[in-house]
Amino acid sequence: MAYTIPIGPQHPALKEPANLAVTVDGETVVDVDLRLGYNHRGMEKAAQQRSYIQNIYLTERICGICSMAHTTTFCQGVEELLGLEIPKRGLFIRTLVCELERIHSHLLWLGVAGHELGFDTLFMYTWRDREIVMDLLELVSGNRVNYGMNTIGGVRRDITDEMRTQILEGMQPLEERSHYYLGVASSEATFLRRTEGVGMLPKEKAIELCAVGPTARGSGVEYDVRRDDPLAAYPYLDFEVITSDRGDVLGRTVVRALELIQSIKMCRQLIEELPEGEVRVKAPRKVAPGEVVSKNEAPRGEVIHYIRSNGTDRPARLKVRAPTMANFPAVLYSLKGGYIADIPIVLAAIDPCFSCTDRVMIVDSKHSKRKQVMSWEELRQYGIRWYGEKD
Amino acid sequence: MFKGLTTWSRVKSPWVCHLNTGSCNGCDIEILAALMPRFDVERFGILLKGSPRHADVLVCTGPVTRQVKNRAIRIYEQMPEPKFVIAIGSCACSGGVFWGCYNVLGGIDQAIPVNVYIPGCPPRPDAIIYGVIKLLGALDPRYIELLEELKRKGEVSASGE
Amino acid sequence: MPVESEIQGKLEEAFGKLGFEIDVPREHRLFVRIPAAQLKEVVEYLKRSLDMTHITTITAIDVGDDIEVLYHFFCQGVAITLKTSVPKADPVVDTITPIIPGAVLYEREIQDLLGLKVKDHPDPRRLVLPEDWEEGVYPLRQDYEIKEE
Repeated sequence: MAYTIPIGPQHPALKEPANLAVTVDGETVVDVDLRLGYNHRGMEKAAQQRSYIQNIYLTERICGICSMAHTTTFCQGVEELLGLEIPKRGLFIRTLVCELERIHSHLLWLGVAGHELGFDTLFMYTWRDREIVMDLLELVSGNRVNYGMNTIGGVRRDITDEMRTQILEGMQPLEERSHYYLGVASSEATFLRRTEGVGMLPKEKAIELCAVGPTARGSGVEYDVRRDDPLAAYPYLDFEVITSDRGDVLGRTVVRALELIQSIKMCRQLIEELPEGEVRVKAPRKVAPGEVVSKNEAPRGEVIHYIRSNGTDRPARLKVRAPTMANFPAVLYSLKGGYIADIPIVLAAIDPCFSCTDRVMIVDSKHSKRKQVMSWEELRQYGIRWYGEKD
Repeated sequence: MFKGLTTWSRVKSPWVCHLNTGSCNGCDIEILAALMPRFDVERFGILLKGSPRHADVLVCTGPVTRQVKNRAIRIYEQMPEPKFVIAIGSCACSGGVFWGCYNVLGGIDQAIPVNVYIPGCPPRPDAIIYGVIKLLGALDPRYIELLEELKRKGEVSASGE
Repeated sequence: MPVESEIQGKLEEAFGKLGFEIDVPREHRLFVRIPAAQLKEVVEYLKRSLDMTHITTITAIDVGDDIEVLYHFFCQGVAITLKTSVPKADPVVDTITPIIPGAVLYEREIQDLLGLKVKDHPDPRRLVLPEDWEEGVYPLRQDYEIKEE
């Protein structure tokens, strides 16, 4: 007998609302359907009515967690249309803030994953360590979130030598903690039990469904925009593209933990090799007609901005595709065949910039009667209890 | 007597429910950061609950998108009286950068009545805590008594200035 | 730019007689303008002969009498963009989901926002607009004005 569970739009812990209808047969998930639109703000239309400079602030707020990634993609697209060459120091600072953002985003995700599994201690630890990065970001840019660092032509603020010392000092405890979290992910029994073999996404499926970011790399797909389509200061850095052959939630966790360590390494290299010079060049307001495809690797995966200009100071068209949209078909696939108890962690494993939800209503599709109302918190607790009683 | 007890418990330990009406998540992560060991709002007795039926205060972020409006109203109606709404972030106060977009109504007060506005993009966790404490201060019976007394003495105008 | 020239050469060889306009503005970028009728054939060719498996997104633009549809792919380190055009009076494109299943959500999005009809799409429901949005109103078309309040 198949039940359909609609998961409605309100989440106690974070992020955006969305709606999933999960059809179950006993404990196993048979099919999942997705309803977006709660977070659709009409930004692409709004971008056509704002100038390029105003659009920097609009694109920054596409997502509060990958805000630097979006402004970088936008600014470098417009810079390409204008034919500007950005001074090396500006590129380095831009990349530094992007990598600091990646560190804060992955630590945030580790905490959220811990919370979804009932491992609140991990949640508290990672967010406490994240405060180190938030302080560094505030030091460099003036704000903890939505930094306003990018402008067309480079970055708006320079880094002083004291800031450089402080950033290097901050990397030290972060590196120790990252190794600790990697250890937790690889050897902590409770964590492994909930993530090993859960949410399987085989490599062929990840390629076929065009997944991006750590979701794809956790299934062995080696695609990272920083290496394959280099931008900003990445050509000057040495880093590895981390993949895992596992294909499950544990694989995605390990990929993110190792990327944390890579990002710390990159930040150190950026600070040590920071060249002298200007941080920005002056950019004209009007952009000659043209089009550009601009890509970047946000913490969640590949971001693309397509910009078409028409000779005025406003874009004719701005198209943004954020990485979570690309990962949706993959997550819907990976939920099938799993247990209801696994829904929270599998959804969280793509690091969605969309919310999971609150009202879980179980509808018996055969009799069309409402049977039971569960909140997301109860679904989470259900998962924790179900696994606890399993042995 | 009972009323005093319940008001005291609401003021001393308000339970909070969080609603995102289309935000970019910036404000949401600052709300969560307020619960984390560094700012630790739980020491004030503030607990984040999952269901609106258990909450005293609804903490809202995001400019209200058309899709979410009815759900937001439904959630507000599910909260038991007395209930309060805090709008966090510029988007929740007035629509923020998204004011004028076709799918955005512009601010939480387009859907439900708001008691406290905390501006910022996003407001720091300290600012959020300050806003919540201000709300509690306004609810505290001792404060209300003090305000009444000052009004009687004429040191404060009738509107509370 | 060896890879980009090679791809350009192969495309010209396979489709040369149809006279596609190919533009290589810099490394890692290639733009090809094709007629809408040839869409499936070219995507099939990219997959079969150039090892293309990844679609990044689909953009649609209202340019007056026509709607331009751009397919952004990624293969061999090059971001290849296929540009097609359909008349606004009859905005129909073929679905490419049988070839690239990952395109399913992007095609739904252009249906919502610009009113394109994607022929034979496996799941043509609304994706991003709210349920109570009026039918036939496409926000990203030029004639849709945001009303000032």
